[in-house]
Amino acid sequence: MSAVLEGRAFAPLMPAARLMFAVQSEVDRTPTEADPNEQRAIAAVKSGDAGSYDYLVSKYMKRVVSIAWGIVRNADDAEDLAQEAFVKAYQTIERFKSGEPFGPWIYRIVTNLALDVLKHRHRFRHEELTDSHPAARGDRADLAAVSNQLASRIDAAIQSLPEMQRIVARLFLVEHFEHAEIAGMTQLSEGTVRSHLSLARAKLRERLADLYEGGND
Amino acid sequence: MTDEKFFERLRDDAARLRYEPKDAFVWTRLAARIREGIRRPVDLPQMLARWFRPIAASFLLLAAGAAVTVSWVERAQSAYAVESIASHPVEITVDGDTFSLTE
Repeated sequence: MSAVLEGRAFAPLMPAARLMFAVQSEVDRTPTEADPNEQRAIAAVKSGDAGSYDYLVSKYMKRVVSIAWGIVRNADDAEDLAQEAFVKAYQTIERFKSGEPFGPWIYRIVTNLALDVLKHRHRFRHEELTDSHPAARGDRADLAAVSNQLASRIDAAIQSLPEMQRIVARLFLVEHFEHAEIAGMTQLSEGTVRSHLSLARAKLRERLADLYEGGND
Repeated sequence: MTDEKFFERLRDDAARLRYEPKDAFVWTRLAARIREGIRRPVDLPQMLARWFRPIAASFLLLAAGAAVTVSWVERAQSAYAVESIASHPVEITVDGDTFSLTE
């Protein structure tokens, strides 16, 4: 196993991965479809070829980080969570059903880890005091879009929602996941997800009324 | 504007709030960290945890089965004891008078 890991396993990742990011930045936003390369990579990883895991990492890394960041609102934590999620997925890949898409599985892992971080923050009051006001933190500046007034207003409105509404709304609005996908990731029922979204929608409409009322619809 | 239309437009606009650092170094570093993470050999606590979980689950299942069996046997035994007492009338004789506990 170690020979595989230390040998050809990781060498070609850097340039290829960088190229892949560019190509896949849009691809990995679409709902997961059957990807023969992905299935081959999973089968190879299961049979001990750790190098094939690079394909899965490069395909899903950006979205995994974005999901984590949306929940914890901290760049360093998001990176740590993404790393932990990928390592955990690798270590338990034997349990992963062949033929299933890898995306929902890694998204569920990272969402659970990020929700654990939030619970941990709530448990420790001093951390909550610093982390419950993300707008005041430098991490928010990581979002290039906040320089745009519209995006900034939307971000602030989503952030003002109660916790689970905020998380569900962000996964739906920002990450473009569907109800069933969000239910799978957050381990809530689809009905609960719809309920959170419905409440969030009412509040967001109220808070962002001036942005959209001028439309022709 | 309907609620649905509002949410649709909001969803289009909110997509730009995705967190995607433009610095390629961030992604290179993360990929390297993941490779490092999966290369790291499993340490003793992790190995024990992997063994412990299924073993603990098996013991838990056995303990639950044993508890159910014991409570079932006890219930059956106590029912048998009551039936046994009822079918064998107990008689006590005091000063020549005989008292029966069944009636």
